[in-house]
Amino acid sequence: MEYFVQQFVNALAFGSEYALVALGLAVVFSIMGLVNFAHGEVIASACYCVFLAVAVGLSQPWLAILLALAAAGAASVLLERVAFRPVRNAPTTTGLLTAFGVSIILQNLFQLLISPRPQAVPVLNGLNATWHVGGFTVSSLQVMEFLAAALSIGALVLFLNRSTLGIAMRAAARDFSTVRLMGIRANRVIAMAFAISGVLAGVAAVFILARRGSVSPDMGFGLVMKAFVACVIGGFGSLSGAAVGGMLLGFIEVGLLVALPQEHGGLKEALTYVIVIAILVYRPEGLLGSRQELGDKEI
Amino acid sequence: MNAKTLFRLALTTAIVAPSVAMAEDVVKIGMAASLTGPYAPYAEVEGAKCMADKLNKAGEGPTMELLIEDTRSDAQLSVTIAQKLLDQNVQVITGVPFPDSLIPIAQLAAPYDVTVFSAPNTQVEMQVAGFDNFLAGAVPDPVNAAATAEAVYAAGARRALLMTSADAGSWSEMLPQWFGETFEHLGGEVIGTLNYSFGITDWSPQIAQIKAMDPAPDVIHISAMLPDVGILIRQLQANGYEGWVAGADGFDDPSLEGSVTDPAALDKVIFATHGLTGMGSDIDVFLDECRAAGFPVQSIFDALGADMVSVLHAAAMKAGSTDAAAIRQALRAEGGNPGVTSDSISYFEEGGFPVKTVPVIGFEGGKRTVIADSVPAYVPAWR
Repeated sequence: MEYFVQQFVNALAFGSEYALVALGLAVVFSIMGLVNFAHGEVIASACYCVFLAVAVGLSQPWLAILLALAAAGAASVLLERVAFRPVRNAPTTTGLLTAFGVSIILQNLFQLLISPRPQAVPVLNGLNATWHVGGFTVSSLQVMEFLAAALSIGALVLFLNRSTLGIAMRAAARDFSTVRLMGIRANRVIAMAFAISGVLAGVAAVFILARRGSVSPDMGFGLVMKAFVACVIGGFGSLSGAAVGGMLLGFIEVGLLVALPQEHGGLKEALTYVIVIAILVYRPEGLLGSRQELGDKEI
Repeated sequence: MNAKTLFRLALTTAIVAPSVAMAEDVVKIGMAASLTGPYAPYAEVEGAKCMADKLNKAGEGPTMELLIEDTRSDAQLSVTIAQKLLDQNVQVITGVPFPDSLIPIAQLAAPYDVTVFSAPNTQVEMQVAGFDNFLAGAVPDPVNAAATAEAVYAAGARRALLMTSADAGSWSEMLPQWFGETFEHLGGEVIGTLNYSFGITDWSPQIAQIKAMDPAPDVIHISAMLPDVGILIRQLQANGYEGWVAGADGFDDPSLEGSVTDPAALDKVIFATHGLTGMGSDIDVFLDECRAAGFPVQSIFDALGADMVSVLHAAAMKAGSTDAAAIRQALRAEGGNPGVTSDSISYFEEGGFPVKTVPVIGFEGGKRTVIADSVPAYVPAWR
């Protein structure tokens, strides 16, 4: 019983991390229709900022956390201004290619300017403690990550529903032209979407850094691919879908790890995608996505 | 032949002869290297450059020339680059140190009679394939695994858990199993195998599985890379695991020490590698000299790169030729050649890989110590 409770908590933690990153992708996609594959490098940028700050003497964990949040937000807004704004009106595929290009350029910059090797960053190691709760062992990081993901989602929902800018962002996600005609500045709405996406990346960066204790150039890329899958499961463009998709992916991964015999453990990734495809066959638009007319492509 | 023709012939000879002599006195090594990408931390390039610089400045024997191109750790790209380097008349070529890169490169290089030398390659696939033009710079994985098993068993471990992954071929999948085979041969017991994937940032599900095992393992063997293993060690200890964590050369990076806050966390970490670093050894002296000369070397893999250049240079001098086949023959002759990781690196016994002792490294208070440095008595059958 303890084993299954433990694995349930693990699945919640995996899901929380995927949900946090998937939300960052979904916020930008819902406004711009851009799948920002450079989102992982925004996470890595925040981690490298902390690494550099530690190298020059930063030792306070709370300062490192604030720095990670600020750096990720700034990096995301900067990327929008430098890389994505010039291709805003280009076809979707151009934006996709730009995002991949930015991702590869940033990874190479980390490799060439800092090091291709992992660099130790122990400043947040203290967040990773073991708590014993009623006979169960729980990682403090897992609990905090779940709470942070829940709080982030709550704060985002409040912002989108209660603030003028949030309502403008929701409107822009439905009909950008109309929002502009109503006097809302497009640049401001899009920059805010990237800033929110960046801060979410910063929150994820704090937990990743605390768990890894090190930074490396490609640390964010694999995670963004998982987050992309989570967004597709949940329904691309739907914020709640991203959160649900992230959680579901976490449960699928941990569930397969527990259920598969070790001699078939190599099938975990393949079976994960079999389940994802099965979900998409049942709900092609994702669990919470809105249905689109496909015309002649309809069966 | 009149005087005018003789003058032209003499002039042509005067111009061409030195360049022919120079061309013959150069060993060109084409390095399709992982300067970027996931294998970049294990690249041997800077050590090779440092050794070439050192030998060239000494002025004895042939000039060692390195032609270096980045493969981005991509096997497919490395084959394309290899063809380009072969067309530049290299005598020796390298690739990404895994069979998906080295097998096609060895096939490409065979008609040119060019040697494929992979300094960090340990995977048995290249030896089993039996390419006459292939040489590895490191001992094969079963030898590494056997040395670790001997050391861990001698330290008192009796119940082993093997963690395997298909992500890096036999290096990550078979090496733990060879460890297990040797461990059982010595009298220990393998109590289970767990599967994992590379790039894990949270080992909690695997650790929950380990905690549920009865009896619990007192050694976990895994052949993985950093930062993954650093995270595993930290998480295992945070969850109360008190046994050994054993591994291979993927552990041998200076960032391992930095990945733990408490130095004592490494006291039960043990791994087999290719040479002694981080403890004031001759290899450290060489690496320090390289850094002072401006080469950003970092780890044992740079020393393996230096080994490659050193033994090729020595073999070319023995052969009295810079012909690729002649150098290969001299490398495989009895007696061995001097390197950085060993005074004598011999290919006489095995042909495709060197016979060297295998250092097993442990930690005391966060500092590296030598647990053993010998050729293991028992190595599982792998050919």
